[in-house]
Amino acid sequence: MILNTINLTMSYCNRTPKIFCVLIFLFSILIGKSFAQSNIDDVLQKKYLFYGEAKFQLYEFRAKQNGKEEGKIKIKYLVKDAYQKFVELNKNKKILLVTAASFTSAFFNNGTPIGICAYEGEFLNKMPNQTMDGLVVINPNGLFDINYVSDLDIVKKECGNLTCNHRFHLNPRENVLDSYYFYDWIQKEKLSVFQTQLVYSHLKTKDENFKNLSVGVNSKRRRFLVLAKKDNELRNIIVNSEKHDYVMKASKDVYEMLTDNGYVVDFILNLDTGSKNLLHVHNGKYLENLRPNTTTKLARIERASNLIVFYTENNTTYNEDTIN
Amino acid sequence: MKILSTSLLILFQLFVFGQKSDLNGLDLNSLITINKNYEYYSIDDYSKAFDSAIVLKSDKINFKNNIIGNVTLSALAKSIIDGIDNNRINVNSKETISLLSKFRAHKYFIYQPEVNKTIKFFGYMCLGEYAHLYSIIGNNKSLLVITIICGLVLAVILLHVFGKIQWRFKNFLNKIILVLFVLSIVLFIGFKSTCDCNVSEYSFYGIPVN
Repeated sequence: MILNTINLTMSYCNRTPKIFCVLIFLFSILIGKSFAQSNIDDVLQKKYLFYGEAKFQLYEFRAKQNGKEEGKIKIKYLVKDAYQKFVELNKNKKILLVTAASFTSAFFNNGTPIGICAYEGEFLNKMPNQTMDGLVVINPNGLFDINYVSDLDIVKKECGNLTCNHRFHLNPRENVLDSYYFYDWIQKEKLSVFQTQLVYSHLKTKDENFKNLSVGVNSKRRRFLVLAKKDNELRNIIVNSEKHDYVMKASKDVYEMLTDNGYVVDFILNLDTGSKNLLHVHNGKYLENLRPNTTTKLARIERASNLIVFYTENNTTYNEDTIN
Repeated sequence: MKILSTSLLILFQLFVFGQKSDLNGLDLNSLITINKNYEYYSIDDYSKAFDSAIVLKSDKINFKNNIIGNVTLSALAKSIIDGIDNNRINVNSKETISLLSKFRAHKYFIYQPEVNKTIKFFGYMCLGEYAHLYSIIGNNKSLLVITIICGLVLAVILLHVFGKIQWRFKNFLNKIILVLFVLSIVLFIGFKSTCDCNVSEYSFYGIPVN
């Protein structure tokens, strides 16, 4: 964009006084910058919302941009040499947001993902974690979709309004025959999947979801992946909180905050904010590291054990992008 | 005659073995029996059942066997984790460690508890993450109290070393402090030079920590 602007300005400069050239050049850069920013705003909305004293950063992706072209934003779950895969993806895609996703036993090295985990049909762990109730299959066609997320606390006979016996609602944690169907489906369709804590599920009542708010530790920052609807349109929202809090307390605050703001929440999934806590978001010019001053080098993207990446197909508008 | 017999053989193989790669045509009731209660299985029984399941899973001709093998593996893995949770299975015994490694080779990571805080502490020390250790101590009240007590003890030792405190057994204490000082330096250097291979998620110099 800037290179085009320079070329156009230089060709014009051969025929006009230099002061006009400088003014036109500066004006063009301003226009170019605002254009780039508005392009990002079309696909990624950033905002702050409050609930009581808690302040949350929201990064919201919509299934449709300007009411058209469904599926413009895509998602990848990168695991096993996650950084190398991220670098490859960054070469020909426009990365909008990248964050740590599921939990691993990793400490000194890549480690093993906790719970069921597969990358594009290849399983890294087939053993379901017995306590984590969220199973997330990456939708190959767009945003995280409600049909691709399973609440493992819900057995088939109680799957509510969902279509029972559908492959999306298999429960490999509770039923070994389901586990066969599920693994077979993931391998054949070359899908990626991870397991994490489902801290809110629309398949349970509010009381069932938030019955114990002070479980675990309150010494961690929190980040959630939210699947919600607003104006009947699917939204994927990464909600980030810098406040140290209990996971269920923070998730309840997120649920109340989003509900108060007109969202219909389907699922809230917990994301890893442990020693490998990282969040990079595109700021209109480049992918910005929002946690640059971490106290541990484990929290660098180069050391990530797994990543969720929101991206669009590459756009020539952003050729000047760099990773910070 | 040869053509007829070959055709019959092919038809027989298709009928018997040529099942589609889904569960159509498979008697699901036969799989229900796999999901049985393994409560009374010993580690040796599990190991034998695992070996049988792998044989079935590897059957490329009879797809039914492949499915039964896969489902059996899942059922065994689930039973083992239940056994560990109920303390029926000792996770640190040699037999269990060997059994779990067999499952890991087939992507069943059965036992993955949260990494112990002590391991994490020494792990960060091994990686030279002192700033992170400082922040952990600052955010943990009990660790902060322990650190303050250690700081006070160190201050008393320094005062003693510089002759600001007169103890009854000064010479004896000097010897103890010197030995502890040298020992801590030797241990620290030894730890830093060997920790890479000896501190892992669930063990500290060969001692299981989980």
